[in-house]
Amino acid sequence: MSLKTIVVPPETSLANRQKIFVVFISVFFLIVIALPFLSISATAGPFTPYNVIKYNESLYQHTGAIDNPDEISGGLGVQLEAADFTDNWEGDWASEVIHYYGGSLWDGTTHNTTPGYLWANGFTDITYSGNSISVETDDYVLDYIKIVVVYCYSSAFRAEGNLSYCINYTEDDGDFDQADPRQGYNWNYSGNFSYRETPIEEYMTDDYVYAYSYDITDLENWNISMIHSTEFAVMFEFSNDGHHFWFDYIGIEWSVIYTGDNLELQYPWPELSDRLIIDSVLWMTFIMGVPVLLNSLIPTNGYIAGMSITLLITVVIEPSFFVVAVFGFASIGILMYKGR
Amino acid sequence: MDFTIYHYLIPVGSMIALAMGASWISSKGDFSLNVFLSCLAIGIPLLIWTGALSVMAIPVAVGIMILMLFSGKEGASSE
Repeated sequence: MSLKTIVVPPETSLANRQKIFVVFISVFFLIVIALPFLSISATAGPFTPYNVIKYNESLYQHTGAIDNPDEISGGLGVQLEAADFTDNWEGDWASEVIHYYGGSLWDGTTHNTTPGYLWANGFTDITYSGNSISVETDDYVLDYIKIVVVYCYSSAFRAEGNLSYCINYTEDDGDFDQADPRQGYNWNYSGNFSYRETPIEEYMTDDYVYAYSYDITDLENWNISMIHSTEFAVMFEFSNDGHHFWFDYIGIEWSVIYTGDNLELQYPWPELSDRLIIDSVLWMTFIMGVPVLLNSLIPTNGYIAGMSITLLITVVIEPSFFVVAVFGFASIGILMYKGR
Repeated sequence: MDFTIYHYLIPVGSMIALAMGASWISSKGDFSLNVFLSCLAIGIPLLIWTGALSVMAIPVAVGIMILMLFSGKEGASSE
């Protein structure tokens, strides 16, 4: 092993401290840039995957300047917690028990011939985001609203039935979560209800998961207050006498076009498109590349000269660049004052 | 639309790389602190202007300029 002279630089030299400082700043920037992603993971928890995709995707389209109306989507459903149809489909809906419990007209010995029902209201209780559009705002246009039922079955057997809704259910009509919705609350026949029985259409299937929806956008003059109202209720009537349907939820899916320009921003970072990234890097290369090149010829002074030139050129060809130029010249001034 | 950290790393990384390159060159192999900070102080408004950062980043740029004012003697060059 050969002996070599090891030169240990003084650890407290100014250059070393500056290197450490530069590394510190770089790490700081990386952490700052990563913050929005940490926020996403922190807020994604309460949502179903569907809501996360639909809602957050649209949310981030609004974090920049809003030049055009854009879409906010909210998907929500009411999970049935006590629909144990297998024993008695007229049973106690208010009891606790289990998600994903199904309905069947099979009572253990015979098949009933009377239709079964799912129904739900109280959509205001669904918490799908703190960034929802305000009920009070007028800056929106309803894109669509659909009533939806999702269920699964152990084979390709499909539920058959109708989706219905009413917009003016009131407590005077009785407890909503008990017994037969038709018999108990005159759903079908009362003049108090704007009852509509609509055919269902299948819009998604998985191996054993089925979803039916019906677009009711054009059937009422909808607004967000109506959607959030507890007087808005949805019902699914199924007429099959197959054994067990395992219902996931019955609910609504809706979307509005936000037309305002003051949507509250939760995150300071906009969503970046590939195009935006390319533009950013091109501008960066043009404005900062020249100073860096000149800097290699005349250290520091070349940078000052090159940056001044590119700032002037850019502010002439792009007047909106003026604010950036102000920052740039201020920075250059400080550099000339302190940086020698 | 994809929403990944790479979208931010590309423009911001470009800015930091240019800043480090400029600061390195201007002091002949050592870091020039004020040139580095100057690049960041210009680069952040530039990225705001292109849309890669929002105006919320303005205080960071102002803070960097204040840091330049009150930082010590340049002294990056050890010559």
